[in-house]
Parts: sequence; C-alpha cells; structure tokens
Amino acid sequence: MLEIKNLQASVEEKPILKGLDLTINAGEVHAIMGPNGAGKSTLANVLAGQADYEVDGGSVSFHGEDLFELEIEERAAKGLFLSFQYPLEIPGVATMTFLKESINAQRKQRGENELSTPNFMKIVKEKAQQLNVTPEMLRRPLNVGFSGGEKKRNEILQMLLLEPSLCILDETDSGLDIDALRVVADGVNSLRSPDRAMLIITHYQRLLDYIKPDFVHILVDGKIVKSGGAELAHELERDGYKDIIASA
Amino acid sequence: MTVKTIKYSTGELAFFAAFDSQKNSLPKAAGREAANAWLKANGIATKRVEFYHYSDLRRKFSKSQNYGAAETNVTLAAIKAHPTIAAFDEADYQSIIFVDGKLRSDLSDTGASLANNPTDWAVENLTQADNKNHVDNLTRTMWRDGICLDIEKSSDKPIHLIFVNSGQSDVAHFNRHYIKLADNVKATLIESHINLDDEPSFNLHHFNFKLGTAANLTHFVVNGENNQAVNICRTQGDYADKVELNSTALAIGGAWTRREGDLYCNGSNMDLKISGAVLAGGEQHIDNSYIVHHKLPENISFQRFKNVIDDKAHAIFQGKVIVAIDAQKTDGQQMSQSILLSDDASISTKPELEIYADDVECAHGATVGALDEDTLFYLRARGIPKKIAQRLLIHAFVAEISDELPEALNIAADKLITVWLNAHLEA
Repeated sequence: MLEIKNLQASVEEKPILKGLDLTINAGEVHAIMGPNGAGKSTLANVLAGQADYEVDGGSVSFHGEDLFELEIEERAAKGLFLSFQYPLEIPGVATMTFLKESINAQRKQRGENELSTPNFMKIVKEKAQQLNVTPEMLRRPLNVGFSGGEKKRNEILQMLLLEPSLCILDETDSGLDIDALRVVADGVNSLRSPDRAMLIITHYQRLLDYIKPDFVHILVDGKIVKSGGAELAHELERDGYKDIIASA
Repeated sequence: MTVKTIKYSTGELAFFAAFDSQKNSLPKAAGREAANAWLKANGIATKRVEFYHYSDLRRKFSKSQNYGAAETNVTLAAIKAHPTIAAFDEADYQSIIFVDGKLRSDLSDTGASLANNPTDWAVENLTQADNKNHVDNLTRTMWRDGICLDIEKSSDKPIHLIFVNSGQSDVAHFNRHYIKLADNVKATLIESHINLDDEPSFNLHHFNFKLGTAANLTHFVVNGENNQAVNICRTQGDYADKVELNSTALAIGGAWTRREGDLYCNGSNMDLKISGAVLAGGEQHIDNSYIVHHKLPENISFQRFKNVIDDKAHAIFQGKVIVAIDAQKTDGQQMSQSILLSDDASISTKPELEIYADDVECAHGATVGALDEDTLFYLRARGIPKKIAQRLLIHAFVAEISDELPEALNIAADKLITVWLNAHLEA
C-alpha cells in the first residue's frame, strides 16, 4: 500500500530524513518510535503534504501512485489520513460543518454521491458516541476550547468517519489520560481490518499496549536503524534508545 | 482680506455648470445656493482633505459626467430577481424603491418623497447654511429626491430601501434622506444598492438619522452593485439617550464605494455598533470612514470592520472617535481586521482617537494577514479542496459581523456572502 524508498526531507534547509525505507502492506500495523528530533513527525507531515517540509530525494508510492504528484486533498481522498499531533482550532467553522464538508469532499473526489444530511447525522451520532464526543462538542467551532483529550478524540472521530485506508497517528497518545487513551485506542482498534494499514508514531510504548503493532521500527537521525516485532517496543522501554543508537 | 483662488478641475466646472442650468428644474428648497457657494469656495474634496485622504472625491467628478433626470422604465419583477434583493424574503419587508435617483411610489409599498412631502425636520435641515462636509454640500446643492420617514411606532417588519440603477442613462443622482425614530421606537431598515445591468452608475446619498430616547435601530446595508458603480453614501446621526444602534454594511459589489458618517452622541447611555464586512476583488475601491462624536458621558461605541480583499482591490477603514471633555466614562472601540488574498490587494486602515476627557476606555486595533497556511493544510488534509477550504475560512471570518444581525437578516447576509464566495473562489 505504501512504499517509501530512500526518502530524504528537510525543514528550512535542515536535513531531517536522511534515506528512510519503509514498506507497509494492507492489514499491517506499524509503529515508529524514536528519540526527539529523529524525524518522526517530519515523516508524518511529508506524507500528508505539509508545505513546510521539503522533499529532497527518494520516492513514495501510495496504492501504486507517486504520492508527491498528488495534492494534499487528493491524498486524503485516496485514503491517507493523518491524525495531527496538534489539531488546529478553527473559530467560526462548526465541527459538524467541517465533518460534513470533509466526508462529502472526499466522496465527490472519488466520484461517489454526497451523503444526505439525515444519513450523515446518523453516522456521526453513532461514531461520536463510541468516542464520548458529545453533541455539544459537535456544535462548537472546530477544536475551539477543546481540551487536549477532546481534540485527540475528535481526530479519531474524523478517522472513523472518513474510513481511510492508511491511518497515520502522530503522537496521538500525548496529552491523554489513561481513560481517554483507552477510548482512543478502542476507536483505532475498531478500524483494524485486512484492507487497512496503520502507521503509529509514538514516543512511548504505552499506546502500543493498547494498539498492538505487527512491526516496530526505531527511527534515529532520519533513518530506520532497527526493525522488529512488538517485543522491540518493550526492549526499548527497558533499555532506552542509547544502546540501540550505539549498536546502530 | 485675501481671496483664495481655486483652480477648478473640469469635473468641478461641469458640476457647477450643471447646477446653474438645472436649478430651476430641481425641487424648490432653501440651502441649495449656499451649499453651491460653499463648494465653489472650497472645491470638491481631494486627498488633501484628511477625511478623504484615501478616497479623492474630486477625481470621481469628470467633465463627461451627465446630470439631470433620467427617464427609465423598469419592472418590479426585474428588481426582485436581482440576487441582492432575492436574498431577502419579500413577505418580510415593506419596500421603498428608488430607480435612478427617483422615488417610485408605483413600485413601492410605502414611503413619502422629500420632493413632494418634505417633513418639517427635513425643511429645517435643508435650510441650515453652516455645513462643512463635502458630501453634505454636494447633495444639498443637487438633490432631486429622497425619502422622509417619521417612524412613530415599532414594527417587526423591516423597511427595505432599494436603490436601483437601470443603466439606461449614466446620470449622476443626488439624494437626501430624512429618517426619524420617535422615543422608544424599535425599527429595522434594510438598504440595498443594485444595478440591473453592466452600465456605469453614479450616486450620492446623504442620510440624516434622528433617533429619539431609547430608540432602537437595526440598519443593514448591502452594496450589491456592478463593477462600474460609483456610490458615495453619507450618514449624519443624531442620537438621544439610551439609543441602541446596530449598523452593519456588507459590500459584495460596486467599483468605487465610499460609506462615511458623522455620528453624534447627543445623550448618554447609548450603545452604538457600526460594523461592516467587505468582500472585494478586481479593482474595487471600498471605503468605510466613520467619526463618532462622544459629546456626553457614558456612551459605548464600537466600530468593527472585516475586509477580505483579492486581486487589485483596495479597502479602507478610517475610523475616528472624538471624546469631548464632558464625555467621561466613554467606551469607544475600533477594530479593523483584514485578510489579503493576493499580493496586489491592499488595505489602508487608520483608526484614530481624539480624547479630551480623562476617565475613558478607548482602544483601537488593526490586523492584516493572509489566510493561515496551517489551518488551510488541516482542512485540505481532510480532503477539502483548497478553494473550498478558503471559502470556509473566509465565511467564518466575516460571519462574526453578520452573526450580530437579527436572524432573518443574518440568513440573507449569509446567502449573499456565499454567492460572492462561490463566484469568487470557484472550486
């Protein structure tokens, strides 16, 4: 589904990703861990198309297409979803309006019919309940006045509604208490399916206790230095990055 | 005594010549000659006159400008089909329709003409000779018609003043309007300016508002003209104790629009909101310039304008709050916020405070910027195409102005904003 080859990227002319290779197949859940500044968020943002990040080399194919040939919104419509580390607050745009615009914009780009309002409302209501997102939150302007946890739950709600084929979760666990973490993880797990892949970017192993990855990769200084199964996360939690960096 | 000699522009000469040749065919009124003499002594304002610094009035008066009455033939259906008018539910208002500067009672639901039935207040005002404002004197010299409204009773049904340009003759129209609200009266006035075709038009309006004690006026203006329309609209406000005013102007059309006012707080405990949203593209010039005169204590005034400017358009906000020595506890605020959508778009914003009292709360602020890139990215990352994301953000930005309107007017404003956004940011 996603094939990253020798990816190099920089921010403000400072190289961050320095030749990253990663292949993700449908049905797989991958976790990327790494110390601060290793390039975890850069990877997420480059894949989503954030303009502050410059792609200097390498290639990424997504469902067989050159990802970098696609506009930001086209990537989304083709199934790429980034759950933001810091979801933006947008005063004046109601959460509900935003959700409806998103779904219908994607459907339109894929040549599907737009959802009718009653249909849309029914789906939102059901998924919102699953994530403890209240109707009151849906009426509020997008993320305005939301707590850190509410913002993250709102991200996962969007993910459940948009049903992407590739879910990229950038530090979704940051700012979540243990109860919120469980709600979010349950939401994410409900999306696990043979046609869907996930890329979970995280600092800590904690989230991975709830969302079991098939593969764990250690990202250091812009490159994946070690890959393994779920047990690698535990190793890392026990020994820290130091040994791994030293041995890499 | 030294006599200042003025070298008139060809446009000024054409105006003075038109007045000389037409004054006998204009409605009889005192004050015309005095106003004309004042203009001859002072000239039409150039950008050297500070209040018109960004909107040079004299340059709008060309030697080829036509003056006089226009013979026009329009249908009510054509007026009501115009998008600006169609945005309002016609069952919800009483219309007063002007076509090419003339009140058309045959098309209107209500209204009395200044030319035929001037109120005492209007006659008295027209007679006053000591007016030092250019638009005041231009309209005082040349007015051909206007509306006189004495509103004695509150009504839930708005009055809709519709100024139509038929374009069948490109003639300059000068109107003066006198609108009075009795004590405790609550009223809503809608004011729409439109063209029925793509021809040029040229209008000057002078509004006198007199609001009695505890009067409450909602005044919603839509400039929905074509891209050749010149429209200069002045308000002189005389407000008594406890007045509540919500004046909101939405500009979605026009080539060269100037809305100005001198608003006088002649009482206390009033709450004045003067706001506007400007959506401009092409080479539009849209100017909102208001002076609020806080003469007595304990009044609130809030001027708030939001501009969205694209292409080579230019928006202007010149706001001033003058707080007299007796006007203690004044709360005078001014805010101008602008989003520039192109490199050639521009905003001139000049809020001013002139304070003579010592116990006041006055502030002004201005922001100018582009749409936030990170916010746009967030919306696009959810699949929303760039143009639609821009529309959503701009709509949210200007909705802070229209949301202050009563619901029915807000719905109309919302439609008009949507029409502009869809046409301007085609997805």
